[in-house]
Amino acid sequence: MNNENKYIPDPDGQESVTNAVMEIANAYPGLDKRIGERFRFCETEPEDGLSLMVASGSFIYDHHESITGHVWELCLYPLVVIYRASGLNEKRKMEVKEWIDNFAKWLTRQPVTLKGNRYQLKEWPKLTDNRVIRDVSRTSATYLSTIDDGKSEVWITNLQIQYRNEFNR
Amino acid sequence: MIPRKYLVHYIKVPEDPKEAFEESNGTVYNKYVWVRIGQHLEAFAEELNPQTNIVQNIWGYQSVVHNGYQVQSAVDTFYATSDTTDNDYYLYKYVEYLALHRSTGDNCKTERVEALINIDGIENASNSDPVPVDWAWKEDCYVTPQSLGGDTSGFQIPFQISNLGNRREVEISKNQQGQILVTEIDND
Repeated sequence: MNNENKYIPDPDGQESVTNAVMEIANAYPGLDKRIGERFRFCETEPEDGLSLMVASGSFIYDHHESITGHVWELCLYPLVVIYRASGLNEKRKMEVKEWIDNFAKWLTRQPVTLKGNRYQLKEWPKLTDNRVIRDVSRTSATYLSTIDDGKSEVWITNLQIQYRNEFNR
Repeated sequence: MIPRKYLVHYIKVPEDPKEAFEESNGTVYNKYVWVRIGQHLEAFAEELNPQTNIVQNIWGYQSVVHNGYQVQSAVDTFYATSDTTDNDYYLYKYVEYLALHRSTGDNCKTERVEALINIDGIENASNSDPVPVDWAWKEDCYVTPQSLGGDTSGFQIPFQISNLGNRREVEISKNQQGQILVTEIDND
C-alpha cells in the first residue's frame, strides 16, 4: 500500500466496532451493576463515571487485493478508556488504576481475577458486514491524565482495536 | 491495460476426496467441482520455465536448443476453511487430503484451466450461456502440497501445480447453480 493512501478513514467500520465494543464493555464482570455502573460513549458525569472515548477514528492501514478482485483491509481503531472519579486518596487511586488495568486485560482476552473469580473473554464481539476483530491491544499503561478544578481525576489507558474488512470488487 | 481479475485460473477437485479415492467401489466417481484459484493471492502466474540451451557455434553464431517448457505454479498462500460456502472449501478439502495421506500418483493428478474472460467479473456472466472469453485452455496437472501450518493469520496449506503439457482449448460456462463447467472444443 502506498503512503498517500495510508490513513483512509473507515467510518462504517468505526460505527460497527463502536457498537460492538460498547456492548461488550458493558458486559464486563467488574462493573458494579447494583449502582448501575456502565460505560458511556465519549462522555461522563462531571464527578465520576466510565467512558470509552474515540481517539482518532478508525482508519485503514493496510490494503490488499487478490488476483480475483477480493479485497482485504486491515484497520485500526484507537480508543481511550476513561475512569473519572473525585476525592481519591492514595489507596483509591491505586484501586482505580487496578480497575482499569483489569478491564484492559479482560478486553484483550487475558484472564483476570475479580473478587476471587477468574474471568476470561472467550471471543471478541461480531461486527457487521464482513468485518472481524483480529486483535485488541494496549498502547499505553494506565495513568492520571488530568485533575479538573472540581478535583475530579481522569485516569486513562489507551487501547487499539485491529479489525479486518473483506469484500469483492 | 487488462485488469488482472480478467485472467482466471480454475482447478478441478473432487467434492469428497475420501469418497473419490477410497470408497468408489468400482464405480467411476464423477462429482467434481471447478474452484477458482487466488482468493488470497496478490500475485499468481503460470511459470513457463523454458528449457533452453544457447551455445556459440564455430561459425560465430548462436545456436539455440529449446527442449520445451516445465510449467509450474505456486499457490503460496492458501487458507484452510471450514465454511462450506467459501470459494476455497473444496480445494482445501482436496489439498488437505493429499497432505494428510502423503498422497502420490493419480490422487494428485487433476486438471486446470486458464481463461482470459472479456467481461467485468466472471460472476457477472449469465448462467447456462458460455462465458465470453478471448481464450480458455485446459491442461492436466499434478497438485503437490508444500507444507501444513503457516503464521498466526490462519492455518495454511500452500501447494504447487505442475502441468503435464497436454493442452487443449475449451469453452467455459456456468450451470443454473452458477458452478463452472468446462467443455472441450472439437477442432476436427
